[in-house]
Amino acid sequence: MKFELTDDQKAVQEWARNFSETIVAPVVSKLSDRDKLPMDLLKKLSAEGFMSLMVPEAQGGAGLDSLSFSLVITELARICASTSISVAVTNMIADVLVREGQKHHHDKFLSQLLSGESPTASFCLTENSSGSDASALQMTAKKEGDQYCLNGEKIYVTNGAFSNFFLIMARTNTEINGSKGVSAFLVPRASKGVVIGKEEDKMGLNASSTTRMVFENVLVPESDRLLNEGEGMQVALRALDGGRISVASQALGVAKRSLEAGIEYAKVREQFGKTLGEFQAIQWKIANASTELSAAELLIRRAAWLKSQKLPHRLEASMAKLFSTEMAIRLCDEMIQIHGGYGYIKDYPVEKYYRDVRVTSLYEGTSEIQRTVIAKNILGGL
Amino acid sequence: MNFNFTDEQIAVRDMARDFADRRVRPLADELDKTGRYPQELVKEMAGLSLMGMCVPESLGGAGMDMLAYVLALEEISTACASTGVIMSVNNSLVCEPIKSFATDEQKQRFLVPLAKGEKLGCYALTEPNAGTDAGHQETKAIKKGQSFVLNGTKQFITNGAEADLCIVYASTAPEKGVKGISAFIVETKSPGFKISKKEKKLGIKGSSCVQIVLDNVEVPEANLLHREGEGFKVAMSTLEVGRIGIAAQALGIGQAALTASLKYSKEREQFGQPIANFQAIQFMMADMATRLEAARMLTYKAAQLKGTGARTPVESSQAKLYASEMCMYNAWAAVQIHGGYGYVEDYIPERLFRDAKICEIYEGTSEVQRILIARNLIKEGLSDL
Amino acid sequence: MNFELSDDHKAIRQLARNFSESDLKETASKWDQEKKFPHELVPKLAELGFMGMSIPEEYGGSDLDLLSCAIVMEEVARHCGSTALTLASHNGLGSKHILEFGNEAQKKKYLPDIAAGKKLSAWALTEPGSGSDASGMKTVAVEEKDCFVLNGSKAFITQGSVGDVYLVLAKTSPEKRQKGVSAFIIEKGTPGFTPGKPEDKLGCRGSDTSTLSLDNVRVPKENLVGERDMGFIDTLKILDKGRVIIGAMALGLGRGALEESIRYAKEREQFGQPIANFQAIQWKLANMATELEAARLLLYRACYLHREGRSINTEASMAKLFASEAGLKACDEAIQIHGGYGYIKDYPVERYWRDCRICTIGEGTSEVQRMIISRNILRGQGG
Repeated sequence: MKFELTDDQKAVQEWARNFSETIVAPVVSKLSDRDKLPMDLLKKLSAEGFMSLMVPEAQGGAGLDSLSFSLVITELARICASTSISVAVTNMIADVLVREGQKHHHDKFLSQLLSGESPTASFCLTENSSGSDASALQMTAKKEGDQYCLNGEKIYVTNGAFSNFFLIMARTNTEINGSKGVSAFLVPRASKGVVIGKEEDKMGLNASSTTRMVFENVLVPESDRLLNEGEGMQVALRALDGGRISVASQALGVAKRSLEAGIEYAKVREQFGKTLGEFQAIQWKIANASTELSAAELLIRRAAWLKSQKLPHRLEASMAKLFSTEMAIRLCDEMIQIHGGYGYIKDYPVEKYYRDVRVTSLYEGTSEIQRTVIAKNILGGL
Repeated sequence: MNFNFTDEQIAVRDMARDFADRRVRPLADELDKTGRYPQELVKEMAGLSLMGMCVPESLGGAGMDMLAYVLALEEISTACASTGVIMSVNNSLVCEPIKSFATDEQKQRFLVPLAKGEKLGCYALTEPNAGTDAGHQETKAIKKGQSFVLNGTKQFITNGAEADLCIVYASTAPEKGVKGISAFIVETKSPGFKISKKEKKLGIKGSSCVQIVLDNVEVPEANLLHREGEGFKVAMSTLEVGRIGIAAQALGIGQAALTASLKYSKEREQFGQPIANFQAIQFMMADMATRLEAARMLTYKAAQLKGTGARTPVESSQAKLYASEMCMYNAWAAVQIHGGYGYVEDYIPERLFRDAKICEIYEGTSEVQRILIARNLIKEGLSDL
Repeated sequence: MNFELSDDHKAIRQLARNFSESDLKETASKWDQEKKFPHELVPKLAELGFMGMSIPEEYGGSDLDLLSCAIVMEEVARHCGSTALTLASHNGLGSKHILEFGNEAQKKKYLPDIAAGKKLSAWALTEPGSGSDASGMKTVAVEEKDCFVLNGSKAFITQGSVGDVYLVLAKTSPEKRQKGVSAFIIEKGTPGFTPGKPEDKLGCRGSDTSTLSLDNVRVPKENLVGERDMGFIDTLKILDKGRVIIGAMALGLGRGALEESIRYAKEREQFGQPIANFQAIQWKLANMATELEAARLLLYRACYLHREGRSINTEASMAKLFASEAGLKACDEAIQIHGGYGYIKDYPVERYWRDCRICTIGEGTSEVQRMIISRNILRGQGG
């Protein structure tokens, strides 16, 4: 076993850190709570290759393995959680296209990500009445000749305001209620009947675009369907296996930055004639936080490594996501506590880290769903 | 609202505390090591009216309110959790249902000796296949003339080895499921009533925990408690009081853990000072004390409310749930604070640790409590303080 | 990075696992209830090479790396915490000190018998008045013309009353505090050196723990291990590895708790179905499994870094802290999942819980681990 990054992986990490600190940081530090990521920044990320990291080099991507990809997401998240999720989701779609798409999908959609024509992509699964119960989705895709007619609504679409195309899960067979009636489609933003709804007003991750979407009689050619009818949920679940590693990596990045801030503060702030770092209560928080952070990092890396080796990783990805996100939330909360009153004031960054990280135990499969997945896996099917 | 105790409650508490210190505490260690039933203590507790505290004086009890009972039980349990549970089962699980559901004749025959401590009682609901799923009773009671004939097996019955009387739950109408369960007062010396196994337990070793086999046990119909088919209702309403009892036992264990930790941390020196000076230790004890207080409040509230005659499904469950998890934490922390000494039998934390664990399991696991609380809240909404 | 075990490591795991299942599983409960140190097990352990795990082959040992030792520990602990604790102390403390800091003569004299299981080793640092404050020890060693004379007492010494070769720490220069401690080999039967009676413990009852009393014990000068006054500094290096080993013990017990719980949850029916169908139970299993996995990775990372020759002061502490707390939590949940049966000695889970409880205390309490971790982090080292 080896617990060391390869030189290549270290180089990727360095590159991502550099870009985050020199290009991303100056831009996002100027954003208010109401601003979304500027298109200009997204295009720069795209041009630099951030949106197609795991696309094979032969197809124009950076050809990174999953572990390297995880490192990139973590580095981005240290500087800006919103940027990291925008990049992560786009990469997830790029991954889907490479894995499940055919040449004409690559020509029509993947190329847009590679060229930057579409700075991001989006994943539309969740609906008003189907979150955790994802396969109960109700949006329909009715076959009409050699095209489909899509009708329905999606919520919580990351990158909704930025993407030129969307990966949509819709029900092609209304006779079947569950996952076997769902299919996956690629839909251009410009299609008639696609309406991008309002931006959600969120607790955190404010610079990331999160919109509703309405599809009213949107016509989609048969060729823009991925795989066969009824295989849509499988596409979604395979995408989420990787997505869980990404979200875990994002939470890790935020947590790292938050812990750095907490340690700094503890070394500097004095009370009762000593620095906070000399009090056991504070030392304990730092010890617990750093230990759990290390544990989370290892769980993530192992899941990513398994994926790179093309080995099964659904269980490990779930464990990594569950543990890392809950760890990160606890950690960011404790860093506020270390800052005392200043932790509540927006002049200090820790309250934002908490608000940004809080969503990570909710999206791409709540902690509850992760536990269900893990339990079913270790019970060996009941 | 009033956070004061009445003079009577204070007197009861002080009496119990004195008894616990003088008589119970010195024996706790031996009871744990030998697994001996504390016969002499139970006799003395009977003499102090501790075995039927909430039974009216006219029926041989102490005529106390439920809060006084909780205070006394907590004091006994601080000294010895085994002795505590013996007292709790007799009071909450045996005297209580007879007091609430029996006929006057039954009360004279059974409640008086139980309350006086002349007879010891136990409660037989659990079966090998009916733990959390208590309604899945396999023990059958078939009517035969003027008796019922009982057949089946009961599991994990506290006080089972020493009891004279046993409240046995059995199915009189299996096709009706839960609504076909009835409760019977059975004399343990009845032919066919056999103790088939005495369990070896992790803790509360001074209290017996047995498996009982009922082999054609004949029970006169005059011993049917309440109506046929109402047995499950009897069981559940009884558990509301039982849970308050276990909560009180847990308060005792939690208090003992805190007291031991405070004492040790002030005496034990490391790095040139008492370890009580270190925040890590201070914080653990602060948490222990706070959770203990919160558990007390929940338990006292449940006791108070139950004393008015109300049903207290949520309050009893909350008290038991919280107090049991508190005492487990407190016992764990006590071991940790004592370091290596917390792991050896010369000090009490390791016994507290072993005793505490059962509180999260019996009379409804923490999982059961959570289901009951949530179900009730979803149905009824939040009630005001 | 690479998360695959090598073939060698897989082989040692299988060897240890087979042994654990065939020799420990059925008898562990008996040793626990009888409070018996299983002397009869020692020859078998020696035969498998488990009595000299990290001792080089030239002294009759198995020359296993830290990861292999951790793997063996986990497999042994899976069925018997007592045997695991015995191995942890015998391999990781007493003999380890001689191996790392002894001279050639000492190694030749003691290690072969230790590796062969002919002599049991023990390590004596803790005293009644110095646990976490290890350097506050009071046992003194006064240098005379031809020997050292030791006086004092030790507490909580694993193998204390059944040991043959003891590594005892004592103050040779009391005014120098931790810089004035030396290590000595004392053999069983040395006049004035008296083990106490075995302690009655909450768990690991098949492992022997006792006090030691030193009353003018004359120790030959050639029994000084390492440099005079360097004993405590040397000790800290031993403890880093020892922490990984205790962490692995907790992991084994936790894994046992999880495996038993999965089996029970699938078999036990309530409300007409296996309790494994209920989310509350699924949640517990998921949490247990996840935390144990994280614990394993932290332990393995420490082993890897050690193999690369790096200091593992922080990483070993993190691994020990996390694994012991995760293991204990898993054992606690296992009892809960078993309901009433979890409280009964017919089922092993209450024993796993009792055995695991020592893991957050021995070889540095969780509090000490937190002190080490936070001190290193605040100084900008490690993590």
